[in-house]
Amino acid sequence: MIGALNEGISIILAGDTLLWLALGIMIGIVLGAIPGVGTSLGMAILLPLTAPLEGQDAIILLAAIYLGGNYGGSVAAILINAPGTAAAAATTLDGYPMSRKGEASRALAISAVASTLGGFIGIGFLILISPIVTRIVLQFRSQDYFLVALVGILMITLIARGPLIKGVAVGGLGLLLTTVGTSPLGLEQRYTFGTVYLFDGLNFVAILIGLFAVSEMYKLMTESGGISKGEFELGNEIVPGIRDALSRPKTIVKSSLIGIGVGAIPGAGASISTFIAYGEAVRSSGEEFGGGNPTGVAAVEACNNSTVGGSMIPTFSFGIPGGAATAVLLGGMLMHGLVPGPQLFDADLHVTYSIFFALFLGNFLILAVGLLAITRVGIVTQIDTKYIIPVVLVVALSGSYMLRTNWVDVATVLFMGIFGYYLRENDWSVIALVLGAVLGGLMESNLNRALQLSDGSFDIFVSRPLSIALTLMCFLILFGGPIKRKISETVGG
Amino acid sequence: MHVYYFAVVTMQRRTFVKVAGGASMIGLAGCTGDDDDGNENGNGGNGNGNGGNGNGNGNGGDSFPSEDLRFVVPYSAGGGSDTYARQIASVLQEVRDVTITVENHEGSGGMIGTNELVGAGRNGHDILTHNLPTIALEYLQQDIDIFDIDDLRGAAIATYATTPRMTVKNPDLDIDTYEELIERQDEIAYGTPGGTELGILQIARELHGFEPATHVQYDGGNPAGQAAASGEVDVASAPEGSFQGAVGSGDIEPLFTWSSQGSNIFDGVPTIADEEQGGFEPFDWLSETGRALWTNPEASEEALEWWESAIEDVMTSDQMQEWSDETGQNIQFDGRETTNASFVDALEGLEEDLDLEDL
Amino acid sequence: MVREYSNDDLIALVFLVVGALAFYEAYTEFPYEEGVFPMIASGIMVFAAAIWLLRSFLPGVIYSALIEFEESREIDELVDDASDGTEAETEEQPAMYKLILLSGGYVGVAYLIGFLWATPVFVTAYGLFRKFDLKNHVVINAIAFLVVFSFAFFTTVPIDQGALWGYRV
Repeated sequence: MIGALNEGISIILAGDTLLWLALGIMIGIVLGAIPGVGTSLGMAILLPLTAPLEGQDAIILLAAIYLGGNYGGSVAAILINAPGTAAAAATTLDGYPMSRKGEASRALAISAVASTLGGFIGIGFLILISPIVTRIVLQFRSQDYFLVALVGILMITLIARGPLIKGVAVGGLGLLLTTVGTSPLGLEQRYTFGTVYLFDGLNFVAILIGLFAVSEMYKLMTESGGISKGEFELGNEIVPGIRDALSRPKTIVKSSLIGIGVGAIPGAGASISTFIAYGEAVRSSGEEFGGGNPTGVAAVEACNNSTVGGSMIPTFSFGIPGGAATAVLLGGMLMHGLVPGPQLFDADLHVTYSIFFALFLGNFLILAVGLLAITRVGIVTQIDTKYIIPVVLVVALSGSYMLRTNWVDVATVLFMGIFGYYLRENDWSVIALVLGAVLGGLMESNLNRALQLSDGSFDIFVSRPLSIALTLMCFLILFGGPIKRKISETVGG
Repeated sequence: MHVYYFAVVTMQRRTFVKVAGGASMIGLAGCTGDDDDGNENGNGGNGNGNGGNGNGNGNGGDSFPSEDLRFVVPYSAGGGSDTYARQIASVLQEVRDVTITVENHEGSGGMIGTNELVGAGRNGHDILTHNLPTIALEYLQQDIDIFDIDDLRGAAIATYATTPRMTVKNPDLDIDTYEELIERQDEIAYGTPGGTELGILQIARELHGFEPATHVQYDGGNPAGQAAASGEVDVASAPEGSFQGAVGSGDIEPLFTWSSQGSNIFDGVPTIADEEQGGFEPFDWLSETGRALWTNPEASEEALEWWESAIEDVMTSDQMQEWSDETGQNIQFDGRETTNASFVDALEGLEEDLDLEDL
Repeated sequence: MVREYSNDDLIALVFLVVGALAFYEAYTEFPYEEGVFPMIASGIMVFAAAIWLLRSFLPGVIYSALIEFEESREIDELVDDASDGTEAETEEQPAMYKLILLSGGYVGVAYLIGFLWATPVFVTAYGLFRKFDLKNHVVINAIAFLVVFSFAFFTTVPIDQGALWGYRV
């Protein structure tokens, strides 16, 4: 392992690899910040241009875009409630309220520091466990993937707003939306109204952009002035922001580890991990969240950057991309003749280490760019919203068309914008909708697989130690709160 | 989300003619016969109800191409098809001094991109990459009605790569042949990415009596391979490239290829037709996936010829060869005649021999 | 509270109806395996929406667990307190409807002539509606157009072409 690490580091430091790393991070931050475009599209555009590069430089460039993008996604999430990437959806929960209070720069500083620390911890941990990572991956079965998704959906009980029963209804709708299109189990076309443009279902990013960015624009139409309703001080907010992040080491370490662990689940890793990290922060701190709590921003941002490391695990070990960005990364590996497989964590560990180490270094750049440049963008929240609204709508709607060149996605954004507005105005949790929509596919296909394997018996969920642990975790989330309250009441009373 | 990821192939494969493989099964069993009007010579039909963009006229000039070319990729950017398409497009620009843009029109198993090609009315200025027999399978399985796939008959240009389908096993499983697998099928959990594999499973049941106790469908060949490695399933079947990494590390072991042509990547992997496997009847028209190109249905003979010779030059160029050596992507060239024959085989073979309702 | 009552119940009703229709289709049309999950999802919707609609008839214990829970909750999602507290909403509901119409029109025009060329139409229409001065018209139009132009320039997505007309950049 040490030998491989050495070799990996020397690969990075030789040649112009660092240059590609820096370029990738910068491109990623910019692309990630544009809602709808997202990092995967940018990576795909650049992919053919990487042909003349050395294989490792190309992979590092692409991975750096992905990392930079996961940080950049938080910028628009904080400033205008428009998560640039799915991984930044949870950043809106406390980040945007901070902007509304006039603390945009502070939130951006927290995001920069927490992202960097999360990246360090996550990728550092990944480097440590790399030699045994394949063995860990092979412990996970279909039922375990299902149970992790269930943990994710149970987060509704922790982070949804308003009456619980409304959150449950909206979560049900989110799950239902994922069933649109050709079924993953057979060939039945479900709720497609016979149009081929719905055969692949609804696009999750389009749902996200509609629910957050577009519905927020409709809402802003009903008021005047800038997004920020508080006193906005540019220069004085950065240091408190850094302090906010540094004073929450427990949250950041926990969130980073969640990012690695949950991020490694193929299918929806990046989007669930952030919600689980956020839910865990809510659960453990006992503070008030959703109104601009710095812990909320730190938890999500630390998590989504370490998720980048986590999502490399299935991509590298078995060639299973967790999402659109890792799919393009896989394309890059393919193009440059780097065959994904367990040997990347074994005989070819030095290759993997060079990529991880590059990402590790990339975090420094995120910190520098984040603190020195991005925090200044907070000024956007001072601009009168009547100038912001048309630009955001143009980016969101035209960007959604670029997701798949499918008008269904544009219609989704528009509809979700209107629908999301009414849901929010009436205390129906849009977060529950997002959770349902991100997890439905993962839940359905893995539940079905598990039941096929067990011949329909639910015993499979308690058949192995890992499954039992995850099942217990689900029960704890559901009943942990009331039980704890009961205990403390008994003890206290 | 569908993630399309195709095989990585390290060894060069000789050009071969593959019609023979499936011919015994399909025969020349006449036209489709049932409800369709058996539009055999597809070039005539226009079938583009949408937009009415005046096809079939105005290309009186004798120089093709008369406008910029377009490469339609019906899968997402960064996938296997996309990688090939971008490489082919860039070499084509050099060898023919033309402008060609690559467009991704993903969705519905490639049917949205195919519809784009069929309906564009660009007189042969577009090409589409799709797979054989997958294109026909997706069309029939999904019951597509936005275009008529028979319009594409005769519009196939070339086959540029081939991937056989392979079955792998968990290293702890003490089964070594297809015959043994069939004998012990009552205890076998079998993982596949669905799609074409469902058809393979159906034909294997009809021809060889192979019916594993449990069939589990994964989101792709790689996840199926991982499931075999973890022991969640005993064996997995997919395009062979999906298994390359995990076979290399010993986490799974090749059992056999369904295609009688054998493996492109792995040495010494038997085929189901081999004697020691039990000498089963192969059905290569389904168990071997060819990457192929089509142009617009209304393309003139001149355009078709232009494309065929241009693609031949591309695939046999030094640049393409270097790229193949460097990346391990397999390349080959089979022209119009062979590819159109395979296409017809696929269309008719699927309709005749597969019970699509039963998949 | 009373003001929101009707809209809120309308949403619950939409959930109930959509859920019921989805459940019915899953039950009658889909093969069992492929119908189970849609039935679970739509079943949850129907059940939860029904409970919400019937909340005033619920026994106390259930009521407090599912509905009243709100008051003891510590978390608010996307809280609007910041705006509610510091500035009275101008209640420009009609303006919002106009924006919804405008953005719908934008998508419609974009379908016909492509997003790139529909963008100036949309931004100008919006600007007229919000009474932009000439400078604002120019600046916002330029920013919006540049963004979409860069999409068209850097990708091969046919964002500069619509069903009726288009001009490739």
